[in-house]
Amino acid sequence: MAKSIDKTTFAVEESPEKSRANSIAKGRKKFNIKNIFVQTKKVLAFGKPYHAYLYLSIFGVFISTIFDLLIPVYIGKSIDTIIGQNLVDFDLLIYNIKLLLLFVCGSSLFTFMANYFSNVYCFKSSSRMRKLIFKKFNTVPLKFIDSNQHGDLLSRMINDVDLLTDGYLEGMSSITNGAITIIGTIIFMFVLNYTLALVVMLITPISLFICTYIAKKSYKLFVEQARSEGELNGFLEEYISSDRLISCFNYEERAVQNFEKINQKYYTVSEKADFYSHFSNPTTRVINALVYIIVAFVGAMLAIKGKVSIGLISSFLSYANSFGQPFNLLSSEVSELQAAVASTDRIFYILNYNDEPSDKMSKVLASVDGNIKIEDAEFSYTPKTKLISGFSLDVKQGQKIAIVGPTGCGKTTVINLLMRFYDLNSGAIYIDENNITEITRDSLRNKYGMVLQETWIFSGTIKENIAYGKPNATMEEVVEAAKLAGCDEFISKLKDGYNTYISEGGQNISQGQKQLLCIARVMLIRPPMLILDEATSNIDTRTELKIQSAFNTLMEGRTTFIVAHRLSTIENADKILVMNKGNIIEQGTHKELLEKRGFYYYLYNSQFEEV
Amino acid sequence: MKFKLKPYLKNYKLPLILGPIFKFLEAITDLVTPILVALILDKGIPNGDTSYIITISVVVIVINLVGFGFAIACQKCSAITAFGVGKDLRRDIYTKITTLSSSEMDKYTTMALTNRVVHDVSQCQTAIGMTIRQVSRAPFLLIGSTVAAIIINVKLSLIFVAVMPIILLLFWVIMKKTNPLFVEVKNNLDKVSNVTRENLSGNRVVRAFNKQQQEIERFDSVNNKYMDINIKVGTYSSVLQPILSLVVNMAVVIVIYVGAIQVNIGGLTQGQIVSFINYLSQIAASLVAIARLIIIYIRTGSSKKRINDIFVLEPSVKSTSAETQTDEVTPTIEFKNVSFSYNGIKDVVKNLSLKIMPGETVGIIGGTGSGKSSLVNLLPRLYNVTKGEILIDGKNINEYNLKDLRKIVSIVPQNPTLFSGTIESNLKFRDEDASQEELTKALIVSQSYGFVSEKPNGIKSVVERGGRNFSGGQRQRLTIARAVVGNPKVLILDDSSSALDFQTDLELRKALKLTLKDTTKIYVSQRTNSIKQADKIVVLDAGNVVGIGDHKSLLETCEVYKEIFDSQNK
Repeated sequence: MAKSIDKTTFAVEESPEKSRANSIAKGRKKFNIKNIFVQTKKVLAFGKPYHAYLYLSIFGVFISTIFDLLIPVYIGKSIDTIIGQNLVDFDLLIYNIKLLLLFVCGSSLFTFMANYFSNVYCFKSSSRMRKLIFKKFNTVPLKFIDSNQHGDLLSRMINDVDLLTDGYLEGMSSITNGAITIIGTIIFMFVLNYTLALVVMLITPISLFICTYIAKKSYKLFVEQARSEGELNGFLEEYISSDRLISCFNYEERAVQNFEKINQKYYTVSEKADFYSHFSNPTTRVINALVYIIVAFVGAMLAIKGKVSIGLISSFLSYANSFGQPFNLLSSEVSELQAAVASTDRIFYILNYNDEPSDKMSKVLASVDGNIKIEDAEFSYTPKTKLISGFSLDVKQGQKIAIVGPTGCGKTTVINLLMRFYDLNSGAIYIDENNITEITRDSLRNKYGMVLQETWIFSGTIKENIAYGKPNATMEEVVEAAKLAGCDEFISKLKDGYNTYISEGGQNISQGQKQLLCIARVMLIRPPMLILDEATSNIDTRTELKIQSAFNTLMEGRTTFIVAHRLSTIENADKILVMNKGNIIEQGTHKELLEKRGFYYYLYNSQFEEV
Repeated sequence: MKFKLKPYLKNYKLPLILGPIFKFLEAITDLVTPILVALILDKGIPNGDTSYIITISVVVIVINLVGFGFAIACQKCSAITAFGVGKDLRRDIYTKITTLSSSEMDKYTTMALTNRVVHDVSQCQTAIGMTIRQVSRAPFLLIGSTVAAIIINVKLSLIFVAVMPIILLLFWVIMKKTNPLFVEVKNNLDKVSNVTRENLSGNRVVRAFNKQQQEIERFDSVNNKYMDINIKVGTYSSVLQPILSLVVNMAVVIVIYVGAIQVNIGGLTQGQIVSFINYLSQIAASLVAIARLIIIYIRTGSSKKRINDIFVLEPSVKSTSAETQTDEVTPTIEFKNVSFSYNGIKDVVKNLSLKIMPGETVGIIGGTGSGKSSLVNLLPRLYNVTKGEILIDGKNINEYNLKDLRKIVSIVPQNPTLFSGTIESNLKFRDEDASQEELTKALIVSQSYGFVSEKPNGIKSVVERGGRNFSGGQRQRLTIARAVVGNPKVLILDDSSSALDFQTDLELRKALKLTLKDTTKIYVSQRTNSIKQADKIVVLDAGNVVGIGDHKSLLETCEVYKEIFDSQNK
């Protein structure tokens, strides 16, 4: 089989943790402000249909932040009316309290509005992002799907989109909030008292520097931790899934020993990472406390001189607090932003991949007879290794072409080319005189019925799976196809019959039964040309016998390419393509090839030689 | 054995106790700061006492720096305890998993077990860490602030008492609403990943059937559901914070108004109101911290339950502790009226009797679901027989020490899986001390020597997870090599040459016959050609033996066998 197939078959899902570590690690290399700016613009483009939500959210943040800033001012003003016994100015106090109530309610209302809309915006745009990625999976050349690990693609769609949403979209509302808070606080403080304002302004950013420093230090540890966790996950996934082998080979103790090594490593790294990352919280708190006392001290000194009131000091004390908050927040968000930048790259790796060239202008292939002509075809998956060259073949309607060769000889390549999953490098393939590059892919592909060795079942009922190519098929048609494929028997034995819910990993039907369903799928649509993979390993031979006769009926009058394992198929074929290491090395009828005494002869005889 | 966290915590007594104490000391500094600042406002300023203000300020700074030290110390304690417990727990769960037998393992998917070892333990770690950091601080600040407030003024403190239950109630309601939704979020995410995974793995089929549009619609429906549920959860959590601050701010307003009345009649000072407001925010913060802790505990509860699922499992296949005396010669194997069922309802092997003499080659053939694999899995006791007995040299295999039994019987599984490492480390799976010659011999026998020696690093070549950097046929051959290392007396090949072409398959069988002369070989196959040379062929049909004999006699006497043979050769 072609190596492209190997990759799809053996793609092991990469654990999200690992890819997170990778994405963080990658992000670190490229992390700079300009990159963030460029990326943000790209990311915002996703949310374009929902920008109204974004504006509403920003508006909410803006108003609520202003209210939040006014609250301490009026708490201070209120306190200033409470000077001492019999010295309370109740008229002014009640006036202030009324305003305060307005601000308090307004702040909560607009905060809710901001939260709500930013939420809706985030989820709507991330949902759209996922949809675009999914669409892309169905429009890119198959080569892209074959050559990337599916676990990784999946992780880009799920984890990276989440990381991106967290980093940019949610980060944005806190950045907006932070920026307005900082600017607003500065203005308010300067209006109230510029000496105290200067004190707060100069000291608070120190915590930003310290926190950024700590974040940078602990960030490295986090990358290591994520990587180590990925390793742990990978180990467990691998060893647990092969638990039977471990038992059979008395490997339990050594498995635990191997696990302990990784476990210990993870402990060392994660304990450190946890410790350092929790450093920044007490640090900012102690700095905030210092600012707090310095404000109190300077305020007190000014108050003694009669320059400020106690209420004003109280307002300042709460400003000192709120001025510090955004800095804490920003410093903690740096690492999320880093991850988001990396994720954006990973997502655009998919989205920027070129689609299959459009075939909208191409002609739609109507009914065909099934004459196929291949002229001087040349093809390779990578420019480095040449696979097929100078290959010509003439197939008349209704002929059977057997493809034979040892394991890994590249039989799937022929299928890829016939159905135009891949395009030829040079040469041409004609169907009834139509060059397949000049007709739409859809109309080409629906002339073929394909049964591959790797079965594909999607989560749904048996009926839905059989009717995949013809969703409006009647129950009778489905049962008819199932009977022809020899799977009606086992289906009727199931409790829910044709409405039994099955899935790829599902335990309720066997591998062989899945294969039968795939055959029934093709039986239902009866296309003019067939591509079959005679899989001997999954279906038991008795059932295979039944399928064989069904296949024979199906093949009657239809052009068929068959990856052959069975002698009878080979002997009855009109032409045999012998493949080895990706190349078509011989072609001819059974008799011709035996007379040639080449590779086929050798291959054929090995089956009947006695041990 | 029920799972409890307590014994794990015992190993970390010192940091476990010290952590909260450090935090407690730090909390005191937090509490003292507003009191001292109030002193500046109430005494320092009215008296115009500069040196008093300076002294208090310096004291506050020193106290805070000391508090910082305590905070760091507590952090260290929490990290050591939480991650230490996590490490021990992971080790124990994994060790437990390795002792389980296949019947228990079948109940769980790989990811379900992996997630337990990694994520559920992580959840416990977080809970322990949070507890150490919060258990003393939050309640202390809560009680301390309340007491301090009461000391200042009893009437005003009543406002606090009213606020607390409101905040807790809020959390409770939101939690009640969102917790079940979180489960739904996870389920919906599973669906989104599943549709995508299916689309990726079946991309060729999707295109062959021109079903791209239908696939996109299928994705759309699950993706939209996932979005809707997320927005729903998000809405609940976006309500929480504004309402909380509304409640706290309202309380502040009331404190100011009621306080003003008190000040006017002379029961309270202005500075005390400022402190009062500070305490109020302190209380709100502590309540939030406590509520978070409770949420974490609830989530940890489900994780503990999941971990417990594993701990309570008892391996169904138990080993006798005594070492078994095993001879150097190949034993006789006898199946006596053996029945086996996975679920206790339907027998997949029915009343089977079979005697295998030392050094015999036995072929087992039959359709899908005929019980071939189940039958051979009974020999190394991956499962226990349901009825009857299996004897090795006349002794029931249940009386053998499991390790010794599995030294005798080696198996090549249907699914050719290698472990990440090197070719060498994989070959040494059965026998850690196998010599280089033995490994080379195994490679030659299994027809892998050619492609292994072609690799630049030969036997030291890296094997990626599952062996994915090797082709199906290569993996199959390497798993055979792995099984023949360590000189097994009985070798089972469970449909292990399905990915090999006829030619390689033939060479393999020749080599096995020549090299492992004394070894009993059991071939499970779907191809009559692979087993027709066997001394004895067992034909299975739906768990029943429908024929035992050699190729020739079976062709004459066994209808099923003949049918299989004909289908492959005519």
